[in-house]
Amino acid sequence: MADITPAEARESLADIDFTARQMRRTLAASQFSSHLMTWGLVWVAGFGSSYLFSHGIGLVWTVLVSLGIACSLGLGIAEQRRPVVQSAQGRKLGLQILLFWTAIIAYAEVLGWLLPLPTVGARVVVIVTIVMLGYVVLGIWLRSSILSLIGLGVTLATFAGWHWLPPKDFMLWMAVFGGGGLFVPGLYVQLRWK
Amino acid sequence: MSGFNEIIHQPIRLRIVSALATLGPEERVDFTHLKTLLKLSDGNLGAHLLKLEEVGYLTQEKTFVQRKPRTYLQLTAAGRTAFRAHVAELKKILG
Repeated sequence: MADITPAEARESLADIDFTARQMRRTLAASQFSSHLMTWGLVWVAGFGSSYLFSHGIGLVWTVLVSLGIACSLGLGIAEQRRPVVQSAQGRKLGLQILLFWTAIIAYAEVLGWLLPLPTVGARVVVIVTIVMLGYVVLGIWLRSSILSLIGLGVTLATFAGWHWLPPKDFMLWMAVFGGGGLFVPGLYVQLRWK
Repeated sequence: MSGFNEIIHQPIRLRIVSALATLGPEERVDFTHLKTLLKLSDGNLGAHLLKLEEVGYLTQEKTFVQRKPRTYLQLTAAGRTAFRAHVAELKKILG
């Protein structure tokens, strides 16, 4: 065995931790930062429109969400074609994540419409909370704490805004803290972790 | 028996193996991604990968993705075991 001092051993262990963290971060940047930014922009535009206009919002949201889904599918397919990490399970995992989000969005939409919610704000809270639960679960599933933190942070911001703000201002709040809560971490990961 | 591993302990190889060990046992990473992460040249990384491959700690799979050549790197079970033993040994030195 080589003659290793405790200081050298400590340095090597620190190097191992640093490299492993960098690896996880760069993979996160390549795998989901673009999705976060896409959905952040969708929410900024959707809630921003809800704040500015009172008519035709349903149509605006339908168009924006459709664009978001198309972008996410495109990004997912591009990643599957030129994967940074390749595995026999990769395609299966991609399909599982797609089904997972389909289920989350379906539950959010159905509950948002079916529950006897008194206001549009209450409906927003239910839908956003279910979608953010998706982020929390996905973070645990993929061992990516930033996704779980985003889920928790946006949920807390949503409840705070709903509780403290008038309904119209709540939409602006959601554009900033909901959309921004997705876009800004996505941009940060893209710029700093890649 | 000591888990200390001279092959893995070399600083660049330690970083290569540390990065690959964060992946699942079935996963392989793109050569270019690892090169960028570790800020190494093609030649430098390639030489260390060859060394790890020679002792059976790593496999390189050359493939074509959209008609462009790509190399994927994967830690073998032996490489993973050796890395774990090496880390355990380093921790033991610290007491």
